[in-house]
Amino acid sequence: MAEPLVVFFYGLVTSLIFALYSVGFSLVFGVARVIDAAYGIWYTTAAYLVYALVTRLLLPLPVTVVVVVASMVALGISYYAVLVRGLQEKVEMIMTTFLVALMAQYLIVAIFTNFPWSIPALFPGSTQVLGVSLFNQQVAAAITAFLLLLVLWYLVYRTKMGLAIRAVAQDKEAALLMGINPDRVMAFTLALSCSLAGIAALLQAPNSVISPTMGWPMLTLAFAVVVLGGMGDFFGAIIASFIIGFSYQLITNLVNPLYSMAAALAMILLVLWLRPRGLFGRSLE
Amino acid sequence: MATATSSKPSRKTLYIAVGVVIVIALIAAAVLVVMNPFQQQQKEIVIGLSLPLTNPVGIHARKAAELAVEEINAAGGVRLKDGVYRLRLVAEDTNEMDPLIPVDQGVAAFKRLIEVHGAQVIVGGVRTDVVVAQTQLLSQYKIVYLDIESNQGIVEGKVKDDYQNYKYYFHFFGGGPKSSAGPLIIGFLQRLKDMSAKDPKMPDVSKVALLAENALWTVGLAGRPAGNSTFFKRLADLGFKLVYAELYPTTESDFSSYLAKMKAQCPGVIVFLFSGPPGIIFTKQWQDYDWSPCKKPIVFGPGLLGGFSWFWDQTQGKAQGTIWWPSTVRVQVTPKTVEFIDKFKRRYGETPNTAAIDAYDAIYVLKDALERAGTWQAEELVKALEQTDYVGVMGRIKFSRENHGLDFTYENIYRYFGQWQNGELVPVWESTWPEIKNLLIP
Repeated sequence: MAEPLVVFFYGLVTSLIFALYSVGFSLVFGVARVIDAAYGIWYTTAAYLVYALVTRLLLPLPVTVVVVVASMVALGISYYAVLVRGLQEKVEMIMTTFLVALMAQYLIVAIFTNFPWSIPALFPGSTQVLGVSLFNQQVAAAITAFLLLLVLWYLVYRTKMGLAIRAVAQDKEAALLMGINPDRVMAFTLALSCSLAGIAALLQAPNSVISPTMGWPMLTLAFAVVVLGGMGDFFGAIIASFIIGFSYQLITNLVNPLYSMAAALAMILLVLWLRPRGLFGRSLE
Repeated sequence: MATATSSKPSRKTLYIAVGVVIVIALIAAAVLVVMNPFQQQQKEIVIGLSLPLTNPVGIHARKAAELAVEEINAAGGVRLKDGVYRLRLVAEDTNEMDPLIPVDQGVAAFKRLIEVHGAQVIVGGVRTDVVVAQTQLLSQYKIVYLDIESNQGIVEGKVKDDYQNYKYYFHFFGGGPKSSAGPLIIGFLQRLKDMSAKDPKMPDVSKVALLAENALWTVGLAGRPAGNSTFFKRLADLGFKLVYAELYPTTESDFSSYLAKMKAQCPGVIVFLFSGPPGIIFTKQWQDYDWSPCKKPIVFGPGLLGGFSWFWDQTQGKAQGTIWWPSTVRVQVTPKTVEFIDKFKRRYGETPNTAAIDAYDAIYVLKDALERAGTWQAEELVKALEQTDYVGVMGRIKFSRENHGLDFTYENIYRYFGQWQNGELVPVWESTWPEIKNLLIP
């Protein structure tokens, strides 16, 4: 009897975190036309930043949040200016961003070693909801992710900047003719995407162990979400996150946890085979 | 106009040139004799450390090996047939504690140690699959391999079945035919069950949950599928009931679902087999989990990291009450045990983990065997290692032609089980004790 509720609650929590993390990756592809293979390392970088600020510098939470988000925004803008701008829609893009990820990973190992670091939960303990024990930290992370997704929706669909983002995603040249500066919009999107990876790391780091390779499974996940939901599709990415999140929990709880990620990846192959443009086959519009 | 004949060097010039070459050669020879670099090279034995050098296991093992080499060299080095040799360490990073790293990296590191650094003996080994792959090359290189931390008797078995190819391998950790952790763990669980039957505050330990990482080293104890092993059949014979058994991927980052499924069965003890970072997440989540209406189960972990001093810090004290094997409890197993633990702690500021103890003992066992063999050549060294009967930090280490591994019938730190209590690993049981002592119920 408890199993459907376990799948429901854990599926909800997992999907919201997946969505928050993957939407940034999807936006970058939709707007800047960049498959950012370094996206996982931004998540890792933010997690190490959180670790350093919380456990080494002993900064309070609000200051940590501000510093991490500001750093990730700065990182996103610099990343766009130095590298991404010159690589848009080029074949070398994946290889270059992949190499950036590897170099950043080696740098992290050089600074922090391969020690599996851990930080304390901001909301320790757990609460029972309808007989299911939920970790307070995960509930807080899910609620924050939900609120941020709402803010993101508002930003993309209800603001001038959102309109500019969608315009550049549709047709860069036409947007330019309408007086939109695509460079500025793309830099903003990269900053937004990196800060989303940073916030996801802020929410997830206390639940997990911080290691230099922690970003790779997240990158795989983002790829999966984007392929399933359609490249650059905001709502598609959110729906795909829920499909993958719930499938993951279903297989973990009812079949075998060893197969959960493999099943998610098999689903992507199936979608790519049946609908190469993703389940929804549209982009930001 | 110059002719071809006039452009040839004169005989005098040739004599001068030859003379200059001879003088340079003589000076070079004199310098070489004075500096004697070849003799220096001959007077060194190079030990190759094959370890995950940025992981706590490898870091501690390297530090302990450096300590041992420093002590041996300071005490005059190693006396072989043709003189006194100094020990020198070289190291390569296998990165083997990262589950995403394939065994190839460990094999490449092993080859580099021999081919690039000129290692004459290898000390290292943590992940079983990496060690199995590396030891397939031993007969090719004819080099002795002292395995300090892999947790399976696979290669010890190969020494028996294929002596000529695997005789170079010696094992300083449990998992071999005479050092199986299984009987120790069963003994501990039996005492825990007896205790829980008498104490109403304790959970019902006869109900066992098994959670194991999906790695080669857990195959023997956990079985495949999980729970299908001689170990669990033996537990069933002793009145235990396996109520939950599952494997988790080595990249797992959330145990909520596992805990929910366990809670549905109200186990009294969770046998938790882990050696990687997810163990930290599991321990934190187990402590924070709302187990009502069940009693919080006891976590007992045969694994590598739980008994490490930094595990307490990384779990922010949530490891309180967890029980681990192996544990570097501060117990005078031999006259050298506490002395080494204190020495290591003074120098590096941390309690040494088991890899440190094994590496330290391995270097001293090697020194002992080198002196008996009178050479570092593998064929002779293997024979000398097979005569080892050495009392080290961990306990008594006795090898023979038939047994290249530890023997837990002799005193050994691996016979102890430790529980985290307020930042200290407190010994709660040793395999000869009739009952558990000083147990903290979580």
